[in-house]
Amino acid sequence: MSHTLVIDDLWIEAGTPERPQVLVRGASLTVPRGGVVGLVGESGSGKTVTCMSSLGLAGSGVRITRGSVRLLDTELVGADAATMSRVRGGVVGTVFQDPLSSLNPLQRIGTQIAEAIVLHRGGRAAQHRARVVELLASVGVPGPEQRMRAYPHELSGGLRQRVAIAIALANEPALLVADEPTTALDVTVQAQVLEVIRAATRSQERSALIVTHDFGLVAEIADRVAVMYAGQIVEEGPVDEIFDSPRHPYTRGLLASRPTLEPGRRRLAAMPGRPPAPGQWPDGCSFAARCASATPQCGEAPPVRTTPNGWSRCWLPAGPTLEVVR
Amino acid sequence: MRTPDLRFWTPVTVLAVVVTACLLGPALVDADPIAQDLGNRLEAPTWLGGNGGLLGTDSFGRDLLARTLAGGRVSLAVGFGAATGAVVLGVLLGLLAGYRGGRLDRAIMTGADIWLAFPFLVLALAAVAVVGSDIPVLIALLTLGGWVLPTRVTRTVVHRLRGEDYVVAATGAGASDRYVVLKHLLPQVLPVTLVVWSFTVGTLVVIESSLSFLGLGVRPPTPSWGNLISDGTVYLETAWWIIAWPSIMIALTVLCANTLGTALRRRLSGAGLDPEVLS
Amino acid sequence: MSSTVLEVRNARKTYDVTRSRRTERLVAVDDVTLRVEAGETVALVGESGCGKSTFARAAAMLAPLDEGEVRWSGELVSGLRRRQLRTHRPHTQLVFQDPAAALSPRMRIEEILAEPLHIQGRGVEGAADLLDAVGLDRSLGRRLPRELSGGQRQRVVIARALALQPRLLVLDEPVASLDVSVQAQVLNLLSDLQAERGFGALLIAHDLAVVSSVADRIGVMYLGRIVEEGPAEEIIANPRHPYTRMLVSAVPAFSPSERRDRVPVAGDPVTPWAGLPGCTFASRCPAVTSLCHDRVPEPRPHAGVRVACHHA
Repeated sequence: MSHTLVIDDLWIEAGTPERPQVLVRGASLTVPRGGVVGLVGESGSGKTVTCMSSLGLAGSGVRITRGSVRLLDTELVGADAATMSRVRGGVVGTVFQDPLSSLNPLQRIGTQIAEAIVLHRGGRAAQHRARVVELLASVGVPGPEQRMRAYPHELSGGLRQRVAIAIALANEPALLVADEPTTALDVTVQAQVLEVIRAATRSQERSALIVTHDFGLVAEIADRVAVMYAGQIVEEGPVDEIFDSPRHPYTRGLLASRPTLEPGRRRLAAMPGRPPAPGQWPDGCSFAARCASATPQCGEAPPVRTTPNGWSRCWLPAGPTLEVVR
Repeated sequence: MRTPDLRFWTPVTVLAVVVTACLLGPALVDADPIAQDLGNRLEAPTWLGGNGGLLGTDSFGRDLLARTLAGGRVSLAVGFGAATGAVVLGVLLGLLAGYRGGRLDRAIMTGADIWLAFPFLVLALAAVAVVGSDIPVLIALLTLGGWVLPTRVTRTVVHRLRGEDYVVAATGAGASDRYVVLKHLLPQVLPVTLVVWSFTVGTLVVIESSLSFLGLGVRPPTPSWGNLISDGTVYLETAWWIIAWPSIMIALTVLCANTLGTALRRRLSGAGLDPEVLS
Repeated sequence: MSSTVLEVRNARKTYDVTRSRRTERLVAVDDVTLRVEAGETVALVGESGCGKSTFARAAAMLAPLDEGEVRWSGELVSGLRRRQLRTHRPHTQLVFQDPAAALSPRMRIEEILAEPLHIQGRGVEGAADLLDAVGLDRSLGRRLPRELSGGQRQRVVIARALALQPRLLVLDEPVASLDVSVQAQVLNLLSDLQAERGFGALLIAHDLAVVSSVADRIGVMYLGRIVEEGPAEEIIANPRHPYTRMLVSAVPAFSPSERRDRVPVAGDPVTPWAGLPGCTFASRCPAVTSLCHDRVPEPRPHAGVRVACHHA
């Protein structure tokens, strides 16, 4: 078996059964063993809800209506509570955007890490002390034996996020899932945490799914990229190809509109319009309204065009592509 | 058709009925609440086999229906009046404290803390002994009993709103303090103070009744729910109806005031105003 | 009338904090001097806690300074009483980071745009034109803010800031809360408006890439002091202060082919208590010497850039 995570044709909706609002339509994505997949998109794209629903962490109003999520050999859609408890923290480690709210403010961080271990490996917190120190050291926390007695509010944002990563890695999960792990941090701290994530995903056969809007993060650590727009994955492929020769016009536009760090004041290559909100998705290709290459054919849902290493959802022929214009 | 919000409309309706009945008292009932009829003392209500009219008579033969309604006029006047006074005073102080901040804020909040530390009922007793217990005096006194909560609530809301970007933008455009308070702060303060007012009505009706019960509030023969209960205590075993009606009225009023307050708070949190401020 | 729309000299702001029963002074802005010319965008970059937001609000006279002077187009405004200041307000307007918080949720867009005109006693007919100026359809005037998208709201915030025809715009992280594809649109809009109307802009941002594309001059702030300041092109191409170099190196790769090994970023910022000796960056600096712990470095010019470092 070569894949850690296989999401197949996932449909997710919210709202009441009489008036449903579709959030994700037919998302399919695979995370290979040892691979790092970046799931990129803007607001309303459905990237966070795809990730959270797959792990059963979406709110009570959100439900999966179709499709499958296979983690190693366990089906997660419709799985019972016991299975999900075993999987979360044990096989999958999660890291969220805000380290302050994902840590318990009333417990020392060492205790929190130890409890994560106890939950899946049994024993008592005191027995796992050595492992806690080891984990803290592995995420680059200086002076781990002393620091493990600290409370979350005594640590800086970067340290807190490292602790959150340590908790996620405590039981040596096969898959690390991170939702905007560096967004709430200062840029120098982002760089530090990025290195921690990179180290965590390089060693062993651990896979990772990183959900983010930040292409910089993806450029740094991902092997493969999936781009989401209006509830669908519109392009998927190896990170080099996505950045150097993107096929879908949305990916191209998004990459081209990023400001580069170079001297000289300049205009940016902005895309017109804005991403449609759930419930306001147009028929046919959801990007057609903003697309410079749209044709009347785009009024029909575009097919999936495969390439040797990936695919994109577009009517344009998957032949030679335009370079990203900087 | 959407089902009407019963948790809101029930207390509103009941309160409206109570208030209207008390206000219309003399029009509804022939009997004079003060007129004594010593030949008809301690009579049970007609539906219990006695000779005392709808609600019975007291130890002086006075009709209890008339007295209960008249007592309601007094108790509700004091309760509603003092609650309104307390909320007006509280909003003013809260605005000053929240908007100005600094020393004025600390002074007002410290004053509020100190005030809460005193047992209000004891103070009220002492005050009544000095200034008497006319109804306007009682209203003024009870206003002092209820100003702290609206002050705190207003101050919290104003303090939070003052830092909101759109308020800063108005200042940045050259708005005066008066403009900011009237245009941006007060409209958000008023709904919250309505909730506080509702709860305060309940509290102050009970305080007034307590004072009158102890003989230090409204003086007989003017009826008030509190002194009606006081009259009837002695006759609990023989003529229980004397205590029953004013007690039920107080309980009903306070229950409605509190339920209304809770319903208003729920509606506010639906509209995005901060309910945490009130807990 | 001078073309220097903003001049701040020796700005200083401190806060008193009680720490285990002793009251200590925390320095948020420490002796900052900065100028903005008409038509120019000056960006202040730095990480959280460096004092850039405090400074920006002080420059817009929306937060007090302990010491220092603020001049708007030559007029000294920092000593004025509230009433006198009000007539100067149209000169400088603020664009906020969070468009949802910057618009009153209970007012319609057209009311929001008319409000500053109303406050200053000017005619409100021009309010609808403001929507055109920021590329929004006039029909949005009747809507409430919650009916608009984030990008549209931010355009309204910009439109409102333009209502009084300011000479200076202070922008506090104007695109940080927006979707990536919308950020570029708003940045272009700001550049176009500046070219048309000639106002000066003080831009607070943490994203160096954004700053490099829109700024003429850059000031790098660390713990309340400007450590490097000069023409944007020079600072991006040739950062001199060790902190600036750290910031530049921390920017993530633009594409996978640009992945590089970074200078490891050391430690966390110290707390800026008043009276700390030496350079505030010393504890994290790869080039630190004993001199750095003893003496606060003063800004010195190097090829048009002012750098506060003993070893630049």
